[in-house]
Amino acid sequence: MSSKEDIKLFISESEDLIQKTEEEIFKIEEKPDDVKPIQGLFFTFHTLKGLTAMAGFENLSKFCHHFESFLDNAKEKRIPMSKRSDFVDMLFESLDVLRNVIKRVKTGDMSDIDATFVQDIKDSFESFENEYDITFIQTLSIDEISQIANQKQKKTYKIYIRLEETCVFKKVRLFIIFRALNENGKICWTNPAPETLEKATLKNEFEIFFISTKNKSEISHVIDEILEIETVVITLLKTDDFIKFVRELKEKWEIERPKPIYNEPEVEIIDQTDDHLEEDRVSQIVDDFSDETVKITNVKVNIEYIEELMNYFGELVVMKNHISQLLKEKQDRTISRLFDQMDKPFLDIQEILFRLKLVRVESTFRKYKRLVRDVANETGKKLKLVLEGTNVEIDRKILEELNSPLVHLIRNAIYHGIELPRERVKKMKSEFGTLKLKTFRRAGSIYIEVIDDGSGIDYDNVRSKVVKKGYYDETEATTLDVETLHKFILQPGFTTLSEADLLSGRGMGLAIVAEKIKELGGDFIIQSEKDVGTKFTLIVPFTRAILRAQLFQINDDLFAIPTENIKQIYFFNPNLVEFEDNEQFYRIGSRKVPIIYLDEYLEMVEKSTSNSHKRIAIWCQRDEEISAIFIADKQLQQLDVVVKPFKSNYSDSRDILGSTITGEGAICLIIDVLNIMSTKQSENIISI
Amino acid sequence: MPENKKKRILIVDDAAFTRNMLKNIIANIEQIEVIGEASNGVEAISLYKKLSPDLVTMDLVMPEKGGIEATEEILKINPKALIVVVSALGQEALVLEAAKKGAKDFIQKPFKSEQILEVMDRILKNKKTEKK
Repeated sequence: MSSKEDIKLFISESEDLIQKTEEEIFKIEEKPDDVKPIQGLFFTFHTLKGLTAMAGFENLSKFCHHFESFLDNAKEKRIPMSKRSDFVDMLFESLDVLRNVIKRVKTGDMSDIDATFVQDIKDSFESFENEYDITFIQTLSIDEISQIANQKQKKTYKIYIRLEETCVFKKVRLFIIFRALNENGKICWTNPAPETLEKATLKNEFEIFFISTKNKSEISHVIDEILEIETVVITLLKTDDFIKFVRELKEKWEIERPKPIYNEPEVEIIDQTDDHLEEDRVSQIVDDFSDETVKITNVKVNIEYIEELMNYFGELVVMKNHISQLLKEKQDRTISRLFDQMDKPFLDIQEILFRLKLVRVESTFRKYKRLVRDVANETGKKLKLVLEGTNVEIDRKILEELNSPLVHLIRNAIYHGIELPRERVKKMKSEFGTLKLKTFRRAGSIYIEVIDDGSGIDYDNVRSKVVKKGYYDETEATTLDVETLHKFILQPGFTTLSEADLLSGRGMGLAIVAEKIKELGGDFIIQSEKDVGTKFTLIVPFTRAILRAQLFQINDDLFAIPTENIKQIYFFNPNLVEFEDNEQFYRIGSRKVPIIYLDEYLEMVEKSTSNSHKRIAIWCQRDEEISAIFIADKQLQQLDVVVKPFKSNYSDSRDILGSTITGEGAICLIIDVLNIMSTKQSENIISI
Repeated sequence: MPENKKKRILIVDDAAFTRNMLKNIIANIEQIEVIGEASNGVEAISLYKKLSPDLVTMDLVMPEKGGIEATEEILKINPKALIVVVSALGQEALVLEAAKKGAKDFIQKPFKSEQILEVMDRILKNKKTEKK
């Protein structure tokens, strides 16, 4: 692709198509007998095929091609009920593949998907068609059947077939029988129903309802050629009787169908958010980092522009503070007052800029609809997903961080919380469980509640586990309150996989969730009642104010670098230092990474001459291209540091993110390594 | 084609043992004779072209060229070719694939002589019926 503009266009077009595809997939699930969504999907994949080919993604284009041609076939033949679930899964997987590519393109990575992907999807479509062609019966409606049956010279038969007991490859046997018959007429229905015929549980006998112009002896000859058939009885039926039988069997099947995934919504999604509440939003940002584009209510703005805007504004704030300092020295009241009046618009702009970083939780929560559907299918549970407050806005970064804890909680709730339909009925609960995701804002924090009406936590089980682990004896354990028990549950390793059924399996991974929320500077609360349900509350700050940082010592001072910027920490090896054009580089494998001596850079010493006490090389990376080795003396512990937005005005240098106080009470500066690297990079460019 | 003319069979299998078994069984059937043996798909195709047998017994897993490909190519030469797959147990997917490529029917190893008789009886006898 030639220009940045082209790439942007490619991204936005692909995203539109992906979204369209997703909508059509949901339609397939809602209206299984409607051929329109298949047609719709055919067109979106067709367009995607062309689009990705033009953009140079050869394999991705082939990948889309396989979907397109399969869908083209499916338009005609329709996909049998039993295979729809697999098919929908495949479609969803294709969306993942497409989304991943788009995600990479956004980071400037134009690499194509692996050719094995294409082969895999080709293979699965082949096996898919192989599978469903065996007993494939065009799903004709009863009206269509009666129309065909009433045509001139058409005879209607019931064919009873009993296979030999020794028949092993029943699938192939059925294929051969069906092929032979379909060459001589039309199979309308079977008893048992076509979908169950090929199952391993198949008894050796079945009936085929068949329309043909051939007479009985001709049909008999056709079947006679086939091996492994013990008995054949061909009965010529009156057309009316034939239709009556088929209708009855089809109706019976509609009721008995084992997994009514598509006709009844097993997962019902209710969005109780009142969308009008926050309609006067400044704008909705496209969430560049999440997998999905947000439903656009207003304008699409490239996130880069917003970041830039924030940077410039940050500079303005620094300058403003300089001026303010100077004005104090000048003692000019008129200008000072005027200057003070600038505070208000500054604050307003700051507020709006801050809001621009926010996205609706909806952008991520939409994905959970599918997760819930998948997990419900996996587990055979029936449930309603209720979303409340999807228009609540939250810092994009925090929302990203919340994704894996939420996925974990949702999976947990369906796997271990919500009971199987029959158990629920026994407990006098509705067959459909309810999983509610409720989001709201309170006092600068965002609350996200994951509520299920499942089996709840079995505290007695937790108590006996506490005893078993030797924390308390039995009598003491009975007096432990719920709060204390929760602390145990959240203790890493308190439960193990093999004991997943303890606490209805809830112990697993909750420790990780709690840890993550704590990292975000938030809180994690459990409330549960046996057989009533469980509520997990995630309380996170509205915006990210807390960072995890690695502490280092340089001379006698402490510094911290955000851990998210650190790629690797090495013991400094002077032999790996190379000199080139007055610059120093550190050799890492085959790479040469520029060295930044922190003490020198931060002007603590004139020139870093002696390497004797340099012990630690910290490899920081901004992206594939920009990285640097920072040299410090000693590596200390990690800690959580508080960084507030636009506090850079308290320091003269933009290389400092902020400061924090360690547990020992020492002051420590948080170094903005990303900024240093970028500055360094532009200096280098200028020097060339 | 006169009624009493012998049906001609091509046996395709990479194991000489299996080929012999089949040959011995068929030797006892009056109306049928084995006219050729192939130990892989490539040989099978060239012998089919040369001999135009009435029926081919086809092993699936063979060196050089497997039975599925051979089936496909033989049917390109003659869409009415009668190919009966002789497969090992547990090869259902392969057998299905061969059937989808157009193999007429299949039997499994180890087979009994009656099974071979039945194959010949059903498939070759009915071939005439088809032609009526």
